[in-house]
Amino acid sequence: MKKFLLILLFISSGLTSWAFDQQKRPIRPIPIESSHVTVCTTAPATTIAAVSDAGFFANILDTSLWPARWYCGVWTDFHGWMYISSDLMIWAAYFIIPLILGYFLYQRRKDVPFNSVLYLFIAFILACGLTHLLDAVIFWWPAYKLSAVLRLGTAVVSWGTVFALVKVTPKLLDFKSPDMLQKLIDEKTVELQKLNNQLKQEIEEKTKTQAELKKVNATLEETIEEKTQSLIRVNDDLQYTNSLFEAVQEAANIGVWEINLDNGSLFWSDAVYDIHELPRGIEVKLDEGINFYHDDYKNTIQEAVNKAINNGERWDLKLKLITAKQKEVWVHALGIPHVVDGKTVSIRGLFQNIDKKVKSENKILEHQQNVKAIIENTQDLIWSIDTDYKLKIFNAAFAEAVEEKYKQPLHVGLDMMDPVIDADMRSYWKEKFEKVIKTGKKLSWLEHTEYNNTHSEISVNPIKKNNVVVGLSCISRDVTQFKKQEEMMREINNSLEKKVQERTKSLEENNIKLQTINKELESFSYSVSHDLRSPLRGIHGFTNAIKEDYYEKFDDTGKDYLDRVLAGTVRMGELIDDMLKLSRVSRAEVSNKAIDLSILAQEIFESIDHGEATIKIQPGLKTKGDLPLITTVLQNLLENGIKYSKKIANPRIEFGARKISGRTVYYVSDNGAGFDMQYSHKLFSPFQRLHHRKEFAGNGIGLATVNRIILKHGGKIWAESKINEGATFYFTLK
Amino acid sequence: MKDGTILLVEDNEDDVMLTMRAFKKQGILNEVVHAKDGAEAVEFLLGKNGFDPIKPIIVLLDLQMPKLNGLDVLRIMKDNESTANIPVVVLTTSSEEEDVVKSYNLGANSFIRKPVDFDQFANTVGQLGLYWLVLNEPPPQ
Repeated sequence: MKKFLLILLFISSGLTSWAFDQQKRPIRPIPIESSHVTVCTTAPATTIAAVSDAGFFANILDTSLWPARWYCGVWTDFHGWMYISSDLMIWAAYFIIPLILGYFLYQRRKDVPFNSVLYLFIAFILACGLTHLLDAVIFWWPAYKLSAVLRLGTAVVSWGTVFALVKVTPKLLDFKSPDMLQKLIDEKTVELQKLNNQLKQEIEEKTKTQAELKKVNATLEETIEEKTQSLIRVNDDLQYTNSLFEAVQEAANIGVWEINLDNGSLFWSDAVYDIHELPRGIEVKLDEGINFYHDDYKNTIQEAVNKAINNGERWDLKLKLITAKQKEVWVHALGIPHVVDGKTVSIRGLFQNIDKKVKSENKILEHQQNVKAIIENTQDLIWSIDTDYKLKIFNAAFAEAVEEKYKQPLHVGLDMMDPVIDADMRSYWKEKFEKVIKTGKKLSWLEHTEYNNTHSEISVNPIKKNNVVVGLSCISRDVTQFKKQEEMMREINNSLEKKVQERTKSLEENNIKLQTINKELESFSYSVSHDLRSPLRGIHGFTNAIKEDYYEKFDDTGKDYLDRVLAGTVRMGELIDDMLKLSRVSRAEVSNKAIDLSILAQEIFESIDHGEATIKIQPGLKTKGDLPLITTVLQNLLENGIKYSKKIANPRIEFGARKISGRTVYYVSDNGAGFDMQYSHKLFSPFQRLHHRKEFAGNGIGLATVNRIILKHGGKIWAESKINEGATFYFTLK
Repeated sequence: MKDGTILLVEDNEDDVMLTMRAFKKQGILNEVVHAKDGAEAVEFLLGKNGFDPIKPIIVLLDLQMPKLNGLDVLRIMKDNESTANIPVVVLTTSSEEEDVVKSYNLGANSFIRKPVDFDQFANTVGQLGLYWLVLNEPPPQ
């Protein structure tokens, strides 16, 4: 409706302005009678000739060619001012209309139809208004050029509006009249009310559903909250795990790498460079990377790479690397191909220095091999089990023995309580095993196997880890042979014991006999000392009496015989005395008292006739023994030394001791005549002499006595000598 | 040299003769009473079988004798008050330690072993006489 009115307004205003313009346009004759009116003249021909349209637009405000309108023609004030005021009023109206329309457009610009047409209309009215304003102004300021341009612009806008209107008119015709609209609105209202009721119902249902949903929602929210919290926790955990993982990577010296197969570029993380002992970040090509591997492993890695590229297979290898610094290092290389549309585009992987691990593994392996070699190097049965009685390690001897008995192959992990082993044996072993596990102490025992009559020595030793028994090591040794030997030994022993008893008995008998003999000997020596010496003394005494009383009756030969009888009896007396001494030594009880040998030797030396001999005695020689007997020993040895060195210039005797093989060996040496070592074995036998009596006196009983005394002290005596180089007598005491 | 009897208890005639010879050789002229065994010596000393007891200045006593041996005689002498103080010199061929110890335990005053060599024996007897008959002061009668 409004649009229709606007169009009417538009058309009417257009027509009005045109009518107004028609009234102004005719050039009226200049009124000559009015004194204050200037005649409007045309310009002289010369001036016209000089005026051209060339610079028309350059000088659009030029007013020089025309007089003000007041002076063109004859204007009465009334006429003129009516003209001017009407023009101004039209302009004012034409100015306000677009303002209103503009305001209208501004307020409702969205739902105004054809607003572009309206904009054109606003421009058209404004332009018309301006032409009227300029018409009024021309009365004083003859800007006819400007006026012409303005009118041209107005014309263009007007025609634009016309075309626009023609274009929109069919559409304008579609606009409903308010009545029609009202009817339409009513129909629609009824429809809407129906729809509204329907909606209300739906809304009620929806509200119900919503309430239920709210409940569900609340529960869900709670669950979500819980989940969120747990997720936060999980997240925290994950972050912590991640940091741990990173630390582990760092610590484990794990590197990552990637080969881009499109451009052949190789990426290494710092750790990979470090493992290769290369400066971080330098460019490395795939081939160069492979060249770092030990010759023995180059093919392996090359094959793995090829398989990854061609078949998309991953690799997980333990390889030996030669670093840039020529160090051999074991690495763990893991490669995972990245396959797109069946084609490997890149390979990524991990790279870890496992040198320490591999070396320690090798050590363990070597250790295990050693242990294996050791346990195989015996006929003993050796095996170990864990605390669940599962077989862990065993040697061939064990396998052979058990397999023979139970006709079952052995394997690591076999339950030793398996029913394949008979129940008696199981309970027998279980009891032993349990005992060791419980006490943690080694258990050994002897076992006799009936069926093959063998004896075994079995020991079960706990294997401990952190002081807890984690397994048992067992050894079974066949001691049948030992047992047999032991029995044999026992038999031999028994028979020996019998023999010993028999011998002891016979020895006891012998002893008694010997004791008797000894007593006889004692009485013999007694009678020797008494009975033999008596007649001897008689012989000597009466021979002496003959010699004294009948001296004159004998010639020299007779006298010599008498002297020889006398000498013989004296010598026999001496022999008897020495024999008695010897027998007394044999019978003597040996006491065991501390003796200072150095002092004793000195005393003896001073008490005997030592002639010109000098002695050197090592001080502080102490021993334990029988003083009178030891005295006899030293006295004999010293006397011997003196006796046999009597004939040389500076007789020197020496008494001392040396340690030989941990034993104290005493010695008495001289620088005298010495003796021939080939007869040394006779030295210590009674009545044996190495020199003639005429050379050196003696009965050959002294060293025999010394020997007996030394023997009685648990010692030994021997001598070393060279003729004319002196002799040394060595002896030990217990 | 003191006067007084020497009682020589000796079963061996040879020894008696040689001892007498030694006394003579050394100028010992005291009366020597010879007992041919221990039993006789005891009879002489204690006056048995009708004998008056003798009071010798010294007794030279052999040990090995039939019947009573020297040690028996010594024991009897020391058991009898009249003979307990008489000096006894054991003069024997034995030098068994056992004999020496027993003799001294029974109160012998001296123990001398007769050497085989007569010169030494004579010498020993001389010294014995010198000591017991000259130097030694006998117990009062």
